Amino acid sequence: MIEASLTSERVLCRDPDEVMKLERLGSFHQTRLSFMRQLLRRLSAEKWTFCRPIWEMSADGYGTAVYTVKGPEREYSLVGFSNRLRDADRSDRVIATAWDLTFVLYDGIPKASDISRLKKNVPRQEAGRYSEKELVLGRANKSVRLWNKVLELLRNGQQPSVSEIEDVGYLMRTTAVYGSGKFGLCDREFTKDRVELRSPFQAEMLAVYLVRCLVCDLIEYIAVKSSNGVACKIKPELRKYFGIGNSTGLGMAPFLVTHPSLFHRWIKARETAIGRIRSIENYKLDDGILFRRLLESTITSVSCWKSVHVIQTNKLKDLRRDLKKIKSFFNKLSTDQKYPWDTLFLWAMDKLTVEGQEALFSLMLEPFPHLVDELASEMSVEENNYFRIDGSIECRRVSKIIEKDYAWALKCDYSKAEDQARFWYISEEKLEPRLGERFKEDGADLEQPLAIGRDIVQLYETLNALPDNLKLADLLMKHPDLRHTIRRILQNGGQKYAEIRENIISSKMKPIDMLRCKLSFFGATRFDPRSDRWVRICMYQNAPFPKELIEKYDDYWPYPILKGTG
Amino acid sequence: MFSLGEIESNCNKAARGAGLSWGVAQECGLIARHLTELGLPGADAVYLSLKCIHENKINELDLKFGMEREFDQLVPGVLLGIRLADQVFNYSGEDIKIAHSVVGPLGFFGVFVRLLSENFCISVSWSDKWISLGSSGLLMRGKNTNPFLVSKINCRIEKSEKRLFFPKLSKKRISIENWTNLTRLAEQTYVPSSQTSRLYGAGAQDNDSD
Repeated sequence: MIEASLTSERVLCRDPDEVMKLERLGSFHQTRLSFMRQLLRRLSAEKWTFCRPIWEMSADGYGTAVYTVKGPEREYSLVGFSNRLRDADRSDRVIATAWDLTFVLYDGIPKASDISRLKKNVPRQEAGRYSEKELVLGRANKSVRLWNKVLELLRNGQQPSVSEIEDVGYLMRTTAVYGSGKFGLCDREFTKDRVELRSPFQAEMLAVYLVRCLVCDLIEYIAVKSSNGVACKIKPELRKYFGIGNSTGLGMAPFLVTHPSLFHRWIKARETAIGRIRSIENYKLDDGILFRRLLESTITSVSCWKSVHVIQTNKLKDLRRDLKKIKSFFNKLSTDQKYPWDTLFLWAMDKLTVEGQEALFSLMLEPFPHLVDELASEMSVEENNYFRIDGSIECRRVSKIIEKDYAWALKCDYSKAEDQARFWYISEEKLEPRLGERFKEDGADLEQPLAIGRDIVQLYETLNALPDNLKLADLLMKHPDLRHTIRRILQNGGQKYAEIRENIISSKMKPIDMLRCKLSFFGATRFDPRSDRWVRICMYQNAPFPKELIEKYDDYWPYPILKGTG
Repeated sequence: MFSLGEIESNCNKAARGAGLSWGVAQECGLIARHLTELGLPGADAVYLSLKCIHENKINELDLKFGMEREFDQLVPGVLLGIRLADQVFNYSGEDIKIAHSVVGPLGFFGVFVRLLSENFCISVSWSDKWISLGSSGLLMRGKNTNPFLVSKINCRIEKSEKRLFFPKLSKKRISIENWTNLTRLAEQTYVPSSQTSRLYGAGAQDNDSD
């Protein structure tokens, strides 16, 4: 539908050679199309109802809670277990074996027998087993920096300040959120046709949203139970500043490589949205006013965005400077300017850093829900598990596809040590993807097939030495090692945003760019790297809680008017 | 009970661990998944082939249908099926008689499940078993669904003029007898941890809590 409608528009989608670079992907920000925002728009529009049927907590906050949400067709329940955890055992790393809070998103309303079963398994996370009734599994740890501080204030009837909240952004952060068939959870195949779960990661986003409710309820409950009657709850206007944190390591990075069709859809939707805005011919005053309001909010938010890692501190410097430049340029832009947003876009490409450009392009989408939001329905894809290599295809056709779609790979010289410095592998201990140093560590013989560029070059060179009219069936009989690359090329045909167009085994590659790209599509903010392969983020900060979601939903919740930040 | 994702992933890794290329391993994962979607013991069927491949160090079959050729070794069903599926353009509408000793014939059938999406009807038979997938969905006769070894297979793949639909997925999952064996093969694709990788592998370094 969108493809058809685009033919009549002046839509300028960027070249994948420009977009699909790690530096740019690693500078993406949340947008109207982010999965959290898609979810909250739906919950609000469809007036989903929320209740907390079970709250069985000890006075010090350990026990079980169930939150149930009801939509037009179905119900889902978050079943959470608050567990005792020694400070010494609190770790975000995947090697941890105990957590402050563990949870599942249950499909429907759990019976007592379900809760009893889940109680035995969920606190054990990967060591437990789950059924097709559970959609999502996850865990969270308290923020050492903020939990005790806020608890103490509430106990004494005091409120935390905005700046105290802003310094961290969350009371707990998730350290893993699993879905789609992991550890026996329900396969996505069984839920993908539900309208509310059709967009990517909606079950995961719902689980995290409900965890945020649980965490805020929990700290207020403990404060009240453990004080002498002076304790208070968090004021509603402050409560929304608490998001849910997340810390993510390398395990997430290969997702963008192993799901090329899905990745193409995400980028295509975003690029189409940017293209549509650039195609607007005339400036409208209301759009400009809204854009300015959101730009001001972004400037304030970015001033509170803290990071100590050099990767991000440099980016933040650039971003702060660029946002001021945007404000100045936009204020001077004539209201008679034809294609005003394209003018802004082209100026940004010339004058701003990549970080500033991508922040601007995300912002540019905000005043235009009627042009952008429908693209959300194009962001999921049924990855073609039924794809078959047609052995009658001649090798020359594959060579031509490589020359057209993978020219970026052919430019790299993989004989250089620095261009094959790393290898991706699966660790025996945690069964998670890891990145090794090829010439320093053992294990390169067990490399995962993620070096797309290098494998393309190997295939291309093999094809060049063979007759053009050789059929793939014959080639594959002699070269079974080329099968995964041929399958990928044929499956990705015509999906121009399917590949990261860079060498992801290079010594210069920063995995954090892949992490940030994926997390930006979730709707994450406050990227705070701890290394080039580990990042903390914040989710749902400033988002409405269920009551406001239904009563007075503000779709611009990621752009708050911050008070008391100083 | 295992999810479809777990079945596909474990069979994919096990196939790689058994010595197959990444591409063929990927096909093995999909074969197990597709058979399971039909309510058949997909992972068990794939395991029979992988055991044979691993024990006999078979990497690929230099096998071209239509050529008279004797095989002095057991033929793993999944590899035979993949070869035939690659060459289906040569054999559509023909009765194919395979007179080799085939290990895991259900794995052979599993390769062709995906052809339904291209509107091919498939029927395969061995000993007393007949399985068909087409416009009437999945039909089966006979008892011996997942034998270890058969001495011949008959097969017919035919393009249908009608649009064919995959039978509705069953949410019921099946137990897998050979899960431990598959996992053991899959483990051969993992890199053992070192102290360094344990601490820094995911990138957390020593600063992993706040």
